[in-house]
Amino acid sequence: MTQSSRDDRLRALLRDADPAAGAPPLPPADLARIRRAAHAALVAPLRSFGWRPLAWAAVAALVLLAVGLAALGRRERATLAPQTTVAAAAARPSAPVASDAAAAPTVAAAPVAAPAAGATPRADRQTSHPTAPFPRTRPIRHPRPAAASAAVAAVAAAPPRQIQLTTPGGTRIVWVLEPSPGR
Amino acid sequence: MLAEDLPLTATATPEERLEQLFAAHHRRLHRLALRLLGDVEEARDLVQETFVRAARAIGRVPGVEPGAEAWLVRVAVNLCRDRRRRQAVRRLHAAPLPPEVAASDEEAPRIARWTVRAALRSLPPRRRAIVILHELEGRTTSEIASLLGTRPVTVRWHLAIARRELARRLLAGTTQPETTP
Repeated sequence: MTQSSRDDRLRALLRDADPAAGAPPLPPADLARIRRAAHAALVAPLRSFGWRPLAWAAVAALVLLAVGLAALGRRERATLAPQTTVAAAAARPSAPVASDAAAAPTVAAAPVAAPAAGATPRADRQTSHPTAPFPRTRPIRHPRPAAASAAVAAVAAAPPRQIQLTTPGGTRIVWVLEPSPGR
Repeated sequence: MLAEDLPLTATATPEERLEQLFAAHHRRLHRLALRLLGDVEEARDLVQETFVRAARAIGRVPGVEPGAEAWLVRVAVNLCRDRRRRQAVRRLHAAPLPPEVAASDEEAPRIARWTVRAALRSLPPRRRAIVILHELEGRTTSEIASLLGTRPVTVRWHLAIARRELARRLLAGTTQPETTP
């Protein structure tokens, strides 16, 4: 069997078995059903088109608002960060750190701020009391070795103290320091 | 004037465009679906699903012929392919067919037609569509390539493979082995 005769025979078989050869067209009821389904599928996206842009705009506005608030909060935190202070207050106002500062209501944090004996307050600093040796708040600094040893000796004889920290968010942290001569 | 000869207007509303597409192509699509699937119910469902797809994407259906027809034919063939995949999964869990029984003389033509349709259905949908469009609808390879969005050489290749496969199934014992064209 040649290729052309084979193809002719196949074509004849396919045409003889063609399911659409004697098949009737779609009945009107089926046509109406298909038409209704197609029109329903056409109407659905058209109806939903109205609210979708509004929904997307609302979502975009909310996202922008959230991003803006986050950026604003970050900027405020960045401006407050250098002013982060350690507010140290004595548990009792009778901390005898220095003889002339016995009546000071607040003192600085122990290892950082405890002054050596005879330290005098600087006139240009804002203090909570005229006789207070140090201001109420000051930035955290690493102490110098000589001053640190003197401060440790002073703290050893001092009563318990408190260190109060205030975060930019408003959270207050209070540390109570118990003097320990062994350390 | 036949509905299939109605021109499509690009300035019509979506409802009018859909109605024009339906009027122009539902008969042709129904015939193609019948030939692709061999079942009246499935063919009707395929036509409906094709027009539902067209309605959902009415803006993407080309406004001029033969672009619109090609779009619909491609959707129908793709849907047919999806059906074939689902049926393949179903067949995995289906019970085995009963053994063949001897056919009487009256049933022989019906069984022969059924065998031809089964052989046609065994082809992949795209190849099956090419065979149907060429052998039953009498379209040229260039027209089929345009309809299916492929090249004529690819259509010819599919035709050759399909003929060989159909001959192996339907003309067994009467064909000689041949080389690849």
